[in-house]
Amino acid sequence: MTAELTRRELIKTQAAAIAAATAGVALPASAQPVPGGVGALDIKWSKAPCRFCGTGCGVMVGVKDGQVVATHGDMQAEVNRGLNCVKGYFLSKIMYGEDRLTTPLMRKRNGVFDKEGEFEPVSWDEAFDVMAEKCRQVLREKGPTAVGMFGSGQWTIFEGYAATKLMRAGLRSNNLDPNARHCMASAATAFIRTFGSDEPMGCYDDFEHADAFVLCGSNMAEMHPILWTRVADRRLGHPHVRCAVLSTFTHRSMDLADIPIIFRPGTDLAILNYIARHIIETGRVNEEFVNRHTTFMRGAVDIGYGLRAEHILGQEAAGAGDPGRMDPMTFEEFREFVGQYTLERTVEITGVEPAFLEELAELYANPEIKVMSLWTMGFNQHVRGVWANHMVYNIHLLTGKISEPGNSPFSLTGQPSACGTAREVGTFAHRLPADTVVTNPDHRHHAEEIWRIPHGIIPEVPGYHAVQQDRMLKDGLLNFYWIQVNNNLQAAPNNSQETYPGYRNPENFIVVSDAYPTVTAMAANLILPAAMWVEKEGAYGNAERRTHVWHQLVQAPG
Amino acid sequence: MAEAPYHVSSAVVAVLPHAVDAVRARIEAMAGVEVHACENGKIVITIEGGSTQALGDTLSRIALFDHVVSANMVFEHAEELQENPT
Repeated sequence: MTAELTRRELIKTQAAAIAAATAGVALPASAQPVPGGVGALDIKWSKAPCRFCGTGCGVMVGVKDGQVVATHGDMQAEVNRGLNCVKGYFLSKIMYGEDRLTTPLMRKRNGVFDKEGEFEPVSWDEAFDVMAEKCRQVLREKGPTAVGMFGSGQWTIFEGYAATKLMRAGLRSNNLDPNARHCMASAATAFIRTFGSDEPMGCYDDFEHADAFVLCGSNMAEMHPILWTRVADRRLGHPHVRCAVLSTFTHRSMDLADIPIIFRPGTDLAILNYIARHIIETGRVNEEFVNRHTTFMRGAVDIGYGLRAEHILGQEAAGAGDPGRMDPMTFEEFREFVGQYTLERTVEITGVEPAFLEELAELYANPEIKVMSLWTMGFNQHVRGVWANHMVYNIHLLTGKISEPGNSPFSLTGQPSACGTAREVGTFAHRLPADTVVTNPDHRHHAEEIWRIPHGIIPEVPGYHAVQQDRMLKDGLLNFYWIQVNNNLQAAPNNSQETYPGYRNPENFIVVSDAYPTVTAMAANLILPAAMWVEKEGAYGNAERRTHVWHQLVQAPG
Repeated sequence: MAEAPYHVSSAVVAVLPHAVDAVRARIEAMAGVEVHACENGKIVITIEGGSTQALGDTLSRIALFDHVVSANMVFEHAEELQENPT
């Protein structure tokens, strides 16, 4: 046997042993790792959270000679218990792409900055000098409302906190928003309107306590595979457990569905109201809970679509002026409202088998069944996303099935720190750290004391949100703009009409910090190379609000 | 050092109980894939190949087999990074 083969066998044996331990499966003795042998691989192992989604899997990161050469799921991590999904393959690879950015690049012509010029490598000093000069010029000429920053749920907690402090306390501008606006705004708004506080009340341990899982607008099998494995283990290990999957099309999660429901697009709201009606009309409202902990409110309807004010669809919508309006209503009025959604009418609207609808409604109505509702962008990017979120809470609150082990409405996040950074440290246009807001004088006062800045520095008017930022860039009212850790030209709505013209508006100076030359970076005036993941110290907060901190393990290139 | 890039990873494939034998046979027939253990509907495999992409593709193919509930990676090691540091 050659030395190389021995080494390969050793690595492979170790790989199999770790996987077997993770699965709780015994390996034949011949395949056990050689004692002390793995040490010969000379790899230093450290912990970090995976950076690819909101699940927050614990990862062991193997470093040799300053490079990440191996990763495996952390068996002691309570989230993933040793597993990684297929995205784990790219944890180390993503850091070593050939087109990794290593030096600042500025558009120049004849040796000086020119928005119409080509990218040229420049020193950090030159990059920062031009950037500072442009920022100062905009502040001088137009004031703080003309500077802005756009980040994401991939910022570390520390970076997001630094961003909110720099923008509000330093530049005196609330024009800071993350791309989490695109995905989680409806979840966050419904959390605030329903509970007064943003983020899920449940946690992943609910998976092992639930008797039923209801997926709506979520394909967990492919999008949250590690959490799906926990759902599957519960379902397959306990014969009484039921799984309902609601979608507009058949996908992988349907494989495990006892109650597969394919509905006409947009009609899920009728299903949710039907479930509420079923709970009420079969006498299964948890009256004690409802009386003690809830009030009933009627939301505004005909609220338009958040388009520019002059858009015809907004002009025609009677409620568009105050889409967040709520008026008190009684339980009887609520009962009357959802009473329209009889089984027959709901079948007619949705096209779903009546027996499946009844089975689904019983999962919630039956007080003996602990139920977990799980949703992602099918709700959160719904045309009526806030409503969809509210309506799930309605059925959990009517039955008191909330904040108990296994009874858990659960909005799953998509980014590694949408909860921990984007929401918790206040990177939204209206928010300050820890669920406080710029519109509240006491909150501003408190933030100013913590940041040791004079009172009155933080502006009270919310800044431009993500979509508004693009419009204001296009209209020339937002002129200095720094984009970090996201690729907005791939993701923004109405890209070709608002975002791209906004970035290319000659009045604007656009800075993009990124590790790779994304389409957004290529549309910038100045690109700053960025360190990623374990190239820096950081912390993420995952979908169940668990905070993971990691050390810097390797040096960023360049 | 003129060694070809060598990548190895391991994974746990969870399978619906009635289909374990059929899925196992299908996995064993794949090039570069080895079954190391199989118990309680969970199949422990290693995947070897020349690139991360190839390994990821193989596991994605397994994930799409009928009766496979999940196919999750556990361990990943890329030897080429060690041999050709950049």
